[in-house]
Amino acid sequence: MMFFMVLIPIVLLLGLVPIVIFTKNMKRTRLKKSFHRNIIVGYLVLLLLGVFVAEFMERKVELHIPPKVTDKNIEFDLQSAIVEGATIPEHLVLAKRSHEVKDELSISPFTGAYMLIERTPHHSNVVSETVYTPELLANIGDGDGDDVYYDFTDQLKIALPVWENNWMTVPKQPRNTIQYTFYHDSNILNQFTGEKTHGYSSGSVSATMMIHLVIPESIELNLPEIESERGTYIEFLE
Amino acid sequence: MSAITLKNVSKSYRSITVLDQLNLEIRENVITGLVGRNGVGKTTLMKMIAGFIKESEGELRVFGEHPFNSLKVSANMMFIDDMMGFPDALTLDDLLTECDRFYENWNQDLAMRLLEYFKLPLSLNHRVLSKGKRSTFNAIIGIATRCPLTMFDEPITGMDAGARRDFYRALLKDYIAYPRTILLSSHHMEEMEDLLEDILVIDGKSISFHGPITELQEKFLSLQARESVLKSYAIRYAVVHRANAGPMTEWIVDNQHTKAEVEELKQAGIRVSAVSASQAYLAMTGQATGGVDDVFNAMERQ
Amino acid sequence: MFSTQWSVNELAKRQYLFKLSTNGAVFTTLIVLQIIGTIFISGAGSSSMNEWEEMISVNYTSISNDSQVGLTLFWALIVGFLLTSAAQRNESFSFVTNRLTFQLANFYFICTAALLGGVMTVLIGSVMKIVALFGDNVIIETTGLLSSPLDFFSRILVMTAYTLLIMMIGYLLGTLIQFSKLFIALFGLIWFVYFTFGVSLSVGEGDSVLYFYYGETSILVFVLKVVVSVAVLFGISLFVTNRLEVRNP
Repeated sequence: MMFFMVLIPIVLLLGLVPIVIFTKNMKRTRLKKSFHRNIIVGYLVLLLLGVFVAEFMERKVELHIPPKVTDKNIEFDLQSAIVEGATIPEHLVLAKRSHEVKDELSISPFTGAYMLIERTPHHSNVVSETVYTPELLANIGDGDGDDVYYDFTDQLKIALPVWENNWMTVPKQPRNTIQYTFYHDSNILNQFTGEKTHGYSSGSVSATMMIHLVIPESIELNLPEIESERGTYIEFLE
Repeated sequence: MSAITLKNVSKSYRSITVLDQLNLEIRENVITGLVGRNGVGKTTLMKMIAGFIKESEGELRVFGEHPFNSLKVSANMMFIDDMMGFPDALTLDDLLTECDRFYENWNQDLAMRLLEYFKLPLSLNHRVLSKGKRSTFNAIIGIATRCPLTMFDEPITGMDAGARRDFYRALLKDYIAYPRTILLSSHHMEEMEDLLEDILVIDGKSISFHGPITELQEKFLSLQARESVLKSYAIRYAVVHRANAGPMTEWIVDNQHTKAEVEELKQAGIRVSAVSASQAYLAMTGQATGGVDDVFNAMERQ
Repeated sequence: MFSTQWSVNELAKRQYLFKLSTNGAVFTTLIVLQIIGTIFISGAGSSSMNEWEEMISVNYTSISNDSQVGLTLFWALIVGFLLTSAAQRNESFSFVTNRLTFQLANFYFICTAALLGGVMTVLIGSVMKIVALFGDNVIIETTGLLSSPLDFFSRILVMTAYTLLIMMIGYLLGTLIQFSKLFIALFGLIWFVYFTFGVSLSVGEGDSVLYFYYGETSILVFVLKVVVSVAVLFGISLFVTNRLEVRNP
């Protein structure tokens, strides 16, 4: 506290001095009074122009704004939904495929995905695969609980697992760089607009790609070492 | 009717008394010269009358109003000095416009003509003017506002001889056309003598003389003769000033002579004449006796 | 005898017009400050990166008119302070005025400056918005003039109110310091006491002076609070200045 007590006046004074000198100099320079009037009017006109340009541009951009998600949708637990067989929102399902496998299925070590394996007591050589999309939500809010999330899931590039000759490979996921720009008016201005307290903290919430395999008992599995250093996450469902 | 009335007015800053118990009445529509040595409170008196500063004691009235915080006094009063603050952002032209905004009797035409005569371009800024030009501009403002009460405090600071002469002339002409109460302070008494009707001498915190200028002159007599003659005939009078000019010596003495005494002096070959107002003023404020020479003479004697 | 008679209102108005024509630089300074704020401070924004398993990285740029708001409030404090300078006083007292009309003219000028400051600061938000709109994946959290005009005007009102408040505080500080230089020492002491004891006392934000205004949710009560505060600040200035001697070096 002591530190701030000394620092704040110094910073204020440092800021004050140039502004005072500048103002005094401005007064001293022999600018006619009409000069100032013209500057002020010109500036205001420019700003008003800015308002309408912004308004116009905003309308054009609005269509591309990623969808908003509320807190409740984020708390959706995909894994337990799969286990319990609950309904899963359709937008989370990336691909639903079936693959024919002869006797043995080998899975290469992989990273960047989470695999759930369910064994069925059938005799079949068909493995059904459901790939759930990874999610990316940008979080803009102050962490007070009424955070706003923007869903960038659609913009993620995803590489689906490759099935070839009884081998399943999860390819290395492409790099995803999501860039977003965020504008908000100063909170001081938004005291009565209900738009207060957004935008001071920002983060992201993401979920990994989840692969749900339903494999008949008759097919033998050749798995990589589970939870090895290389980060292959596989879980068996009871 | 008197324009300005002071009853036992004093002004002090903390423990320093600048003006002490002044009683004064200044007649309306009269040009009064305010003279006195440096630091006797001429400016303080004028600022008090202008309402810029407040009297510490006593009763001060300007046209029947108490001037401090009085809009009436402010609107009908103009105070000109060389410290006048004019905004840097405005040109002389803009300043004239502002005068027009504030002063009802303002004469734009007169101001423009005077500025032209004194070679003051309208596009200039007040700040860049030389000292003399600035004083000239301020003086022009003072004349052209035509306020019922106009005060000039050392208006001629920095002006050259020509400008000073022209200023006094302009002031007198405009005063004759539009009579008003004018207070004028200056150290150059001899230059404004012709202009003044009344004179107010302040000496040592109080008024030592106030009245028509001729009355001041009548207080003294100038005696001119050889020193020996003066010493034998005029020694009984209070001598306020001695001066040597060639063979003749001039004494300025208090005018307390009877007619017979003056005749006697004239018989003795002494030239008796009236003094000028500035001589009288110098004599009165003690600036005439020896002066600073005495300081050096005294040092030499030691 | 008197030839001219002014009413206080008429003269305050004329002094105000005089102030406007001599203090154009005050507004030009604000404009320069805002432009500097736009180019050098807000343009940088704040960028951060979150990586998850090296596969997803999120970069965001946050743009707002915070810096312009800050600069405007800072400007307000200084303008309020500068208005009490001896030069300003002498300029006014070169023409017809008394202390009341002088103060009223200053107050009108402060109101004008605050309004202009408020309008300019809110409007420059749109310029910042345009800057933001050139970025990728733009998210606009602030509604515009056409989509919700009421919010837009409430922003102008709030900004004007805060600018006015801060200007009046600067004005009062300046007035007190002009009255006696001892006040500089007093303000230093208050600052010291506030930071040594005040901060530790007011833990919750509900206690602080700022929250008195900032925490207000009703626009009417807010306006009332600001109006009363401004009236009190102006009243004190008026009281202090009414005995001030001018053109007295």
